[in-house]
This record gives sequence, C-alpha cells and structure tokens, in this order.
Amino acid sequence: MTATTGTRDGQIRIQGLTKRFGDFTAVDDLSFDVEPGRITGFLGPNGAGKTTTLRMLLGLVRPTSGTATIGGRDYAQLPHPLGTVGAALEATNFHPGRSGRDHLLVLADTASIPAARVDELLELTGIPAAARKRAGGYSMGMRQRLGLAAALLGDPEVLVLDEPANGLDPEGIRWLRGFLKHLASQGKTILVSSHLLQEVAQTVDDVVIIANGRLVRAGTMADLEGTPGALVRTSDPEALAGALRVADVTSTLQDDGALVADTTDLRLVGDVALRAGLPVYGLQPQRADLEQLYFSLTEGTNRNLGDAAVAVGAPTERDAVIGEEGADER
Amino acid sequence: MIGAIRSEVRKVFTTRLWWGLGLGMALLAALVAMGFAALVGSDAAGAGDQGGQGNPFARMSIGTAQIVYNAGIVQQMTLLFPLALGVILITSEYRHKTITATFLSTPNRWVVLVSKTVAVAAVGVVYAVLHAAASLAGAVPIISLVKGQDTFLGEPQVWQSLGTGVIAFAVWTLFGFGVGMLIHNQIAATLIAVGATLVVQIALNIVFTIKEWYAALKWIPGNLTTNMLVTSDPTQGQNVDPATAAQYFDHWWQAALVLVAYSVGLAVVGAFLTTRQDVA
Repeated sequence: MTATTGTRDGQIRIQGLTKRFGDFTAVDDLSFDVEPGRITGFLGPNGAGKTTTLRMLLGLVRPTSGTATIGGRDYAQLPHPLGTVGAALEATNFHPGRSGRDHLLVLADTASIPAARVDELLELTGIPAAARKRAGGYSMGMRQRLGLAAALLGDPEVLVLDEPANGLDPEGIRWLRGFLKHLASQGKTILVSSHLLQEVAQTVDDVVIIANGRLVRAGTMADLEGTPGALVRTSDPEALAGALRVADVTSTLQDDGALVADTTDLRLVGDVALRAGLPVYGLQPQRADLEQLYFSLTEGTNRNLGDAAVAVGAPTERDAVIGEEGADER
Repeated sequence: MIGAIRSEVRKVFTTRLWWGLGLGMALLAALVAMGFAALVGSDAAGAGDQGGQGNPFARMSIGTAQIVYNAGIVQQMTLLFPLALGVILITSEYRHKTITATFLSTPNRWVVLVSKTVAVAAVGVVYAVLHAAASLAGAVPIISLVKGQDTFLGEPQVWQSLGTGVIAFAVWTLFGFGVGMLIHNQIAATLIAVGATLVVQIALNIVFTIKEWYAALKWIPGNLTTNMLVTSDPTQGQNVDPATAAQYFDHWWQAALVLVAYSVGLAVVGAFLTTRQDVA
C-alpha cells in the first residue's frame, strides 16, 4: 500500500475535520492522530460528535471540510476495506430475522472470506451456538460480541469500535479488555469510543477527548493521570511542606488543608513528619480523580443541555494547568 | 462485484421474507387464475349469444389463455408482491441499519446498488416461475376437466407470454426497489408504492378513458404489463373500435422496453440520491 508521506500503514489521521448539519456544527475543525499498536480512547459526552467523526472516518458521512484517512487513504479508496479496517459502530445493526452467522456470511461474501473464518470468529468471540439463531433474540452482550466478530472478519490492521462496552456485564467488560489488549499486542491500531473515561481508563494507552465537536485534549493516558502523589493530613501543613522541601520533595497545599506531596513514597512522608514532630492524621496515595478530571474537561460545555450549562464550575488549580496543556495541543 | 452480488443474493434468501411473500403470491395467483378459468365459456361471458359482444372469455383462444394463465398480473393483484418485496429489500437495510455494514464492506455505493439490482431482479425471476406454476395449477384443471376446452398449452405464444412474465416480475420488483431508495421509511415507501399502483393507476385509467385520450392509456405501467403479456387478441378481431385499439402498442417488446426504461429510470434516480446521502 502506498501511503502519503508522514502517514504509516494503519495510522489514522484526522485533519481539520468539520461537519455542519444546517446551522449546527457537529464536528468543528478536529485534528488528531491514532497510532498503530496502541489502544486509543475516543472520549466525549453524549452528543459531542464522536459518532459523526467515526462515520466520516468510515466514509458513511461526507465531511463539510477536512480529511480523515487510514494509512493515508480515504476509506472509500481502500482496495480491501474489510481487510484494512474493522468497524463495530452500533450494537443494534442486525436484521432481527437473520441469524448472526448468516449476517457474517453476508459480509464475508463481499471480500471472498471463507465460511471457515466466520466460524473461527464465532468461536473466538464465544458465541458459536447462539449465532445460528435469529439475531432478533440476542442480548446486548451477544450483539456486541457479534459486532466485534464482524469487525474482525478480514483480520484488519485497524479497529474502530463505537462504545463496545455498552451493555456488557462486568464479566464481558473484563473479557473485552483482555481481548483488546491482545489485539493491540499484535500491532493493530485500535480506536475505542466511550462517553465514560473510567470505563476505558484501564484499557487505553492514549486518549482523545472532545466536547462540542472540538478537541479538548489529546495525549497519553499517563499524561492525563499526571504524576501520582501522597496525600497527607497534619496539624500544620505549612510546617510539613517546609520539612518535605528539605527532604527534596515538593508539595502543594489543597483548599481543604490537606497536603499533596509529589512522591509515591508514603514511608518517606511519614518519616519526615515524625522527624518534624508533626502528627499524621491521614496518609494515602493520591491519584488523579479521573471522573473529576473528565468532568472538568468536558463539563459546562454540553450544547445539548442549553445555555444554562455554559457557565464553567469554579476551576481548581489542577484544572487550570490541564486547561493550558489542552490549549497547547490544539 | 461478484462478491457483492453473492452477498446481496444471500441477504435475500437468509430471511423469511422472500418465501413468505412468495407463498402469499402463489396462493393468490392460483385463486385468481381459477376464477378467470371459471369464466371461460360461461353465459356471463357471452358464450350463449355467439360471442357477438367480443368478450374475451366467450371461448378459449390463444389470447384468452394468455389472460387466464397471467390472471393475477393482468388484474394487477399479484404484481403487488414483487413490488412490496423490492421496497422491503432496500428499506429493511435502513430500518435495521444494516446499510452501515453494507457500505462498510463495499464502500463504492454504486457497486452495492448495482449488485442489489441484480439480486432483486433474480428474485423477480424466481417469483415469475412460482407465479406461472401456481397460475397453471389453478387454471388448467378447470379449463380441461370442468370446461372441457382446449388449454392451448401447445401454443408457443402462450409459453412466450409466460416467459415474458419474467420481465414483468423483474420490472415490478425493480419499481419497488426504486421507490425504496427514494423513500427510506419502510412503511411510507410500501404504502406509496402500493397506493400508486392501485389508486393512481386506476384514477389515470378512468380519467384518460373519460377524456378519450386512448393513446395516453398505453403509457400506464399496468397497461404496459398487460400489453406485454397478452399478444394475441382474445376477442379474435371482433373488437375493432380503432379508438380503443390505440391503447396498446403494436408489439409486446415495445411495451417491455418502455417498462424497463421506467423501472431503470426510477432506480437510477433513487441510486443517485442514495450514493450522495449521509448514513446516520
């Protein structure tokens, strides 16, 4: 496959992508890349423009302007679409009167994929027996598995999955996580959309967050989570901050009087406090509150809720920092 | 292209729709053919007064056989089944959103729609064979055993008429397909296609007849279909009013060409719009 300069096989590149429906701008000048061999979470509240973006990437919706390419090509230009990109867009896209296996055979026909491959995938996704019944009676979990089987038919290098965890039970979500990690380890490009950060936090390597059709943040999950710290409560936080500085540990005082030390070494913090003669009321590892963080990135901007929601909640110091970083990447 | 066609054909035959509609159509075709066969040579058909009324059912002729063995089509009743099938084959893709998977596996939408047209026409052929078999099964025993008349099954023109039925079914399935591409809502598309066939065609027939625009009558799809199937005058030249003779083309293939042009034209317009639309 001849790829455009600067784009590798299996790399998804979105550049200046815009979609307007009349006066409504669903996706607004969106740009980001998705790298092979990594799982990228594509996040945003409901109505943020995720599905429209994915549909433009897959040639189902015409962009108003901008491009979305896979390995440097438009989806419609791919010589072997099923062998290049596997997509599972909605878990309800089956004819209720057709069996799951027949659904896969219909798709397999278009790329001359043998029936044996269909059965192999039904085994892999754990629904070989059920797939012979009509799809109308399938549970949500079975639909998701069937959708995933359809996406994998042509053994594609790129996977685009829209809300694949929706409707899965905890066991199913665990299975999905392991499955995606396994696929990423084979060097596949995986783009997974979700409206919940916590849902994908343990699975994804990179995140792309959008709100109102605009990019809010793109980067690695580790960057988003920030450096983990130690939260300590004491009688005189100022004095403890000074003592920690002597031990080469920076710290930040929170509004509620707790101190966040930039270290994961809880023993060190405890020892410093003891030496400084300060009582320790509480000491625990501090991780970024993903839910809070995600809200602060996307909250107050949900256009579907009307103007009342536009006023942004009081930003904390941490939010301000993230806001700047987000702005840099735009 | 071959793969896309195979996929579309498999789509048709992996749900119960095709045989459900086919069974209903076959039953209706047999019933209507039985009814028409029962008319042959009856007093109601003017058999008593030497056939002076020019009634096509006065006695069996090649033309009468063509009408009786295609009775469901001539009455425009059984054509509603291929019409509905064509509508449902495309609108169910939108209703169940399988159109997304279809366009993902074959991003070139023209390839998809041409493949679908081939598959749709193929089902039309299956329906035509089913229809001919059911009509013969309904009519032949009555004509030969009850009426004691010649079945005219030895006549090539009768078999040609049954063969032309294949074109009729392919065209009417394609009509439904075209309407379905223009109107993606399944219920709306079905009602409009069936309504246009029944109400609008009958209204046009009445208006054109009252206005004595006999030449315009021959352009109505239902009349074209009859024109194509009934190639021999069943009244054996007794109905010689030149005005009413203008309502048919001279040759069956002229009618066939016009019908095919209609259906392909409708399908191309529908396909053009479908290739440009966003799939939400």
